[in-house]
Amino acid sequence: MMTMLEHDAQTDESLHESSGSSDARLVEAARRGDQAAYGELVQRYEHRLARVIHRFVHDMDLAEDLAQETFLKVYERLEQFDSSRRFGPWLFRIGVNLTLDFLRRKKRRGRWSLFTDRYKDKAPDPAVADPRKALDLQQEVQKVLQMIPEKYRVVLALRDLENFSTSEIAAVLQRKEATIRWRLAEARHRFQYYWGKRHGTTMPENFTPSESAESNDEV
Amino acid sequence: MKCKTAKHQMALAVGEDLSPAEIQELQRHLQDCSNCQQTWEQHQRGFAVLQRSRTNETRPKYDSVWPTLSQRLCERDAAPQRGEFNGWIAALAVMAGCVVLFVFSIEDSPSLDVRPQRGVSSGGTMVTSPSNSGQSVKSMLRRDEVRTTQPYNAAPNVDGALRDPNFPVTE
Repeated sequence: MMTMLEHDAQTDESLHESSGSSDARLVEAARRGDQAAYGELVQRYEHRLARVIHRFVHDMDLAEDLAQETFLKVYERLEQFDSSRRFGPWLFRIGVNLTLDFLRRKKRRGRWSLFTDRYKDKAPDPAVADPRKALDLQQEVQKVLQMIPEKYRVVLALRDLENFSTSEIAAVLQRKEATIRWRLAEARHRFQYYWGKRHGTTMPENFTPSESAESNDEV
Repeated sequence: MKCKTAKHQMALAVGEDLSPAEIQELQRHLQDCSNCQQTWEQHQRGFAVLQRSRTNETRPKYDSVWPTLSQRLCERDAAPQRGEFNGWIAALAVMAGCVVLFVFSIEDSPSLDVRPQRGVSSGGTMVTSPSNSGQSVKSMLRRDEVRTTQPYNAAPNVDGALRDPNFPVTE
């Protein structure tokens, strides 16, 4: 009865796919001014980082720009890096925070605009047939993800779309793993709820996205 | 296991985020709870949508950021670095300036007790004002002398003579 869906094994990359000791050696060399060593680190992580950033900004050029800014910031902060920890989560923490800050600034700037996606989404043009039908699966999933509050959405995207483990997400977001698991469960509930609402599928009884989860966030 | 807990566990189980022991406990609950079985199927469908969207997506091909980044790092290293304490020095200079201004402003402000009124003499020295500019300094000094020797409120000594007991009273 309980058939678990398998995660896509071929894309299952871990944040410590490259040996941690190798990363530490490259970081030490980069700290001493060896740019080639830093270049090796960049080339090791850049595609994964750009893909994660793209997951949030949905623009390839912007994702590359933000990835570049992340690596620049990381280079400037190499002295602050704790060598006893893994480099990957630290890099992704800076990258994800940079991206989320960028999106928050963009949202603030667009708050007073009359022409935001939010309003378009709420009031589609009645003269046009349901525009959602024209959207493919990815776009539709994106629309539903946008309905989920950021702190849940980030966890859902990293776990279910980028295949990070919950312990890696905890390291990236600097939260306890229990908090991440709580947020993940809440995010999946919400995704299912909003997906069902948009597509008219039956929903589990008595479920509405609860704010009670908010109080349990900082477990 | 209560249904509320089971629903939370189902959301984790669907993505293989539960331990084997937790899964067994959940399975036992699902065997007895038809309502939760329905919820479980919904969770599976929702999770399948996410997985399908991930596997169907075309992964964008990113160019390496390293060529541009290495150039930026070289430019950054070539640029003169600001001293670590430059900001502190500037802040200290501003603070010192404020202190000096404060000290001078205290020294320059006259005491309220000895402040002379405009156009009125103080200690025999005439304080000039723009309204006096048409008069000669000499005439002003002369008037000031009169004021100091005979105040305006001094009455003529007429009644005083009457009050003198040695003064001969004439009927």
